[in-house]
Order: sequence, then structure tokens, then C-alpha cells
Amino acid sequence: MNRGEYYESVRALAREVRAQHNLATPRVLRSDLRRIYRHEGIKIVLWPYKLRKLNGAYFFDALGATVMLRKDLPAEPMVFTMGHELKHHLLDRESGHSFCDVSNENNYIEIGAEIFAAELIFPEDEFAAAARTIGIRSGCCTPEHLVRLKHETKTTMHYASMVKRVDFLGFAPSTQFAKVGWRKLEERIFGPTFRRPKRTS
Amino acid sequence: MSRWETGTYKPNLEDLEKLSRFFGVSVLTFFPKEVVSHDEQLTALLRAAKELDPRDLDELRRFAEFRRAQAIFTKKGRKKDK
Repeated sequence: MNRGEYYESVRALAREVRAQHNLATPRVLRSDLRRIYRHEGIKIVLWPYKLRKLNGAYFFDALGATVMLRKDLPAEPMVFTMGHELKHHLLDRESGHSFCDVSNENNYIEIGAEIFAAELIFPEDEFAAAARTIGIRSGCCTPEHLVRLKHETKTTMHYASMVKRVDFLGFAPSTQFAKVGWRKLEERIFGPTFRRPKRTS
Repeated sequence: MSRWETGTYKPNLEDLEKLSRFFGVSVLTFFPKEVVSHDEQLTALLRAAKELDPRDLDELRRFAEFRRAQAIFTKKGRKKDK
């Protein structure tokens, strides 16, 4: 299996998990992931001590499956990280423990986990269709478009991941969004009443 | 602390973790040596994680030790219940 085929199989698995656990919208919450973790027998430990670049780690051995998560992660990156670690549990558990930070993100197993998490929250085909509906075209995607897309779909996919997705789909290069203040932009478009999806726990 | 000494209150694992950080030792220090096994898989992981920020690497090791301590702690609790 080459890399392209591997990534495609990872996406297919994410869609299977969505179907199996009745995730019908791009609004996937921490409670949804906790439900999947319970079903898979994965223990979650929220680590209260300071971590620099590490968001999560997956451990699997005779003690069972455990996912360590940074306790101070905001809700959306938390959902994404939980999705990322779920991929390690479903596909990579034979290799035992793994950690996820910027130093190993070019590793194909880690890229696969990023693809899995993104697909689990907002499948690529649905994302592309929703993007086209609000007027995003190839070479024509602004930060305002992404804020509208997030608002319209109520997705819990965080902006960093949406940027990677629009880059991958050829709507706009990710460099175009490098210095965007998303919160301020949301407030400029929708006013101060616009709120991010609430934390679920 | 005096309640720990008199046995009125037993420290939980989170208390032990805080205490181990205060003294700069591993949380596994609080457990008998014979029940603390060597984790070869973790040793291999930490060896492979050279690119990781050293402080994150240290936290990863601490978490792995916490997890093993948790397993010992739970096992002991279960034995007592019986």
C-alpha cells in the first residue's frame, strides 16, 4: 500500500467510525469522543502539568489503552487531539506508545492521524460541498469565508485544521491565513454575540 | 500531613504525584521495588523521542510512571476490598 492509499484507508475508517457512532454532523463534541473511547475501552487522563508542544500521547501495553491529554487544551483542539489519538488506538496499537508533537508530524503515521481526526470531525467531501455552497472557489477563499463556513456548519473543527483542509483542496494556500486573528474576525462579522461552541464538560 | 501520619486520611495518587514533584523523585519511589517492573517499551519510546522538547520528554516519562503507579494503586485497592 502506498502513502496515498494508506491515507485514503484512514479516511474511510474515520467515516466508518462516524457511521458506527451516529456522528451525522460536523459538530463533534468531546462527549461524543468520550462515548467512543468508552466503547473502545480507552482510559483518558487529563494531565494537569505544563506541556510545551505536546498535546497528547497514546499508551498501549499490558495495562491497557490510555490517552494522555493536556488538561488546558481548549475544547476544539481537544476534540481534534482525541480524534488523533483514536487513530493510534485503532490502527497503530501494536507499536505500543506514541506521542504527538511538531517534531514527528511529518511521519506518515502522524499525518494519517491528522487526516483521521479531520475526517472524523468534518468529512472532506462534506467540507468541500459546504465550502462551495458559501461561495468558496479555487483560488478564492478568504479568512471571512472560513469564519462563515464555521458559523454556517457549526463545526467543531478548529481554524488551524480548516486552513490545512482548504490548502489541501486547492482553495487557498495556508500561508494566506498565517496571521489571521480569528476571534476578532468572528466578532467583526457576527458581532460580539457570536460565541464559539460551548465546552461540554 | 498529620492526618496521613495518623492514618485518618490516605493520600491518593494525585497527592503522591505532587509530593514526588516537590522532592524531585519518581512517583514510583512510593511503591515497593518488587512491584515496579521495568517498562522496556517506554524506554524505547523515550530513546526514539530525541526531537521532543526535553521538558515534554520529562513530562512524558512522569506520565508513564504515574500510569504504572496507578495500576499498582488500583490493584492494591482491589486486594484490600477482597
